[in-house]
Amino acid sequence: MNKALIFDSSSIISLAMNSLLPELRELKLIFDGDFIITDEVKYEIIDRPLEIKRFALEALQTQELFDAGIFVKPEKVGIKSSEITKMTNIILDKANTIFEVRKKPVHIIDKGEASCMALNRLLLDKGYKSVIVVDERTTRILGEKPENMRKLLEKKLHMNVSQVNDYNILNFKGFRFIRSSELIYVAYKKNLTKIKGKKGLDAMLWSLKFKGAAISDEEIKEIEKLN
Amino acid sequence: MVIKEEIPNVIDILEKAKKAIEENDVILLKELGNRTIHTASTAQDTDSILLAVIMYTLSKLIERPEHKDKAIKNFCSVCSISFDKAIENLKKGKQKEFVASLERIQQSILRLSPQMRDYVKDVMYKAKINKASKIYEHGISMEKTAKLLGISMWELASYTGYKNISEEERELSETEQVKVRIKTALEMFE
Repeated sequence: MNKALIFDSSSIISLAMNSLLPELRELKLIFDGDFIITDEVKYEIIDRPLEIKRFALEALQTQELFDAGIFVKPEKVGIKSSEITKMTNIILDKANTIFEVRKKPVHIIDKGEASCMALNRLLLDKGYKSVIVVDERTTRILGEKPENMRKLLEKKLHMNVSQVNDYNILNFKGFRFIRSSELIYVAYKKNLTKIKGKKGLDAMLWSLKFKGAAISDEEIKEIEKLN
Repeated sequence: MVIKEEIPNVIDILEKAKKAIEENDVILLKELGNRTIHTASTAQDTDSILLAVIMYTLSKLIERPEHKDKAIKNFCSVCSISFDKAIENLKKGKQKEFVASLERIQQSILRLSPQMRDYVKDVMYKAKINKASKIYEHGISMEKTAKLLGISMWELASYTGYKNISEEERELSETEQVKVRIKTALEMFE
C-alpha cells in the first residue's frame, strides 16, 4: 500500500525552530512513501519566512529539504493542485460554518490547514495510507473530536456557542493525526537522532513543546514511559 | 467593522481605557484588552483586534519606567484624545471615522523620536504576539490567528508553547491518546 505523511506548516515550523530538520531527513530515508506539502503550506514555511530576517535561515533549511526531494508536492503522487483547491474550499466552507456565536459563524481554520485535510481525503480516495502531521491543536480537535471544539470555544469565550451543522461535524471525523513529537519519538526509537539517550529524547520533546507543538507535560511524560 | 451588538461594549471599553490612562491603571488596561479579545476571536474584525493590541501596548508602556519620558506621556495623551473621537464616532454610527480615530494612534507613533518610535513599535509588536496567542487559545487555528494579526506562524509558534493551560482545557485538547498516536507513527514507518 502506498504511504504518505502530509505536513502542516505548524509541524515543520516546530522541527525547524528546534534544529530537528536533519532528523526529518533521516526519517525520510527509511520511509517507504512520500512526505508531502501543499502549495499553501510551502508558502507559510518557505516563501513567506524567507522575507523575515529572523526566520530566513530556517526557511532556507526547509527549502533545502524541498530541493533535495525530501518534501514533494502533491503532483508527485498524481494529485493536481486544482483538485486540492476545490476540496480545500469545500473543507473551509464546512469547517468555518459549524459553530456560531450570536448567530455569526466562527472561522476556525485557514487555507493551509484545510489544504492538508483536503489532500488527506484525496489520498485516501486513491487508496493511500496517509496521516497528517500537525502541531497546532485546532485542526486536530476538529478532525478527531469536533464536539470538544464547541466546549473549548464556550469555555474561552464565556458565551453560548451553537453547533449549527451536525452534518459538517460528521464530515470531519476519520482523520488521523500525529505531531512532530511522535515523529521525533520514531526517530529516537530507530536510532536516527543526533542526540542519543533518554535525556536527549526528553530535551527534544520539551524543546518542541516550547516552540510550537501543542503537547502537554503529561503527554511528554507518557511518551517517555513508553520507552 | 465593529458588529452592532458589540458597539455598547466597545464604547464602555474605550471610556474605561481613558480613565485607566489618567490613573495609570495597568491592570484595568490589561483587563480591557482581554475583553476585546473575546470579540476579536468571534467576529474576527480587524478593528477589535487593533483595539486589543492598543490596550495591551498602553498597559506595557505605562508599567515600564520609560513611562516617565515626556514623549511616552504625550503618546498616551494622544491615545486618550483618539479614544474620545472614537467614542463620539461610534455613538453616531460612523464606523469609518471610528477606525480612522484608532489609526491616528498608529500614525502618531511615526511622529515620535527615532529611539522612542522603535521602543513603542517594539512594545506594539510584542502586544500583537501576545494577543495572537490569546486568540489561538480561544480555539482559532494557528494559521488563521497569524493572518488576523498580520504576523507569521513562526512568530506565533515561538510564543505559544510557554502558555499554561487549565486541566479542563488540556482534557479538551487531548483528543487522542498519546500511545495511539505513537502506534500510528510507528506503523507508518514499518
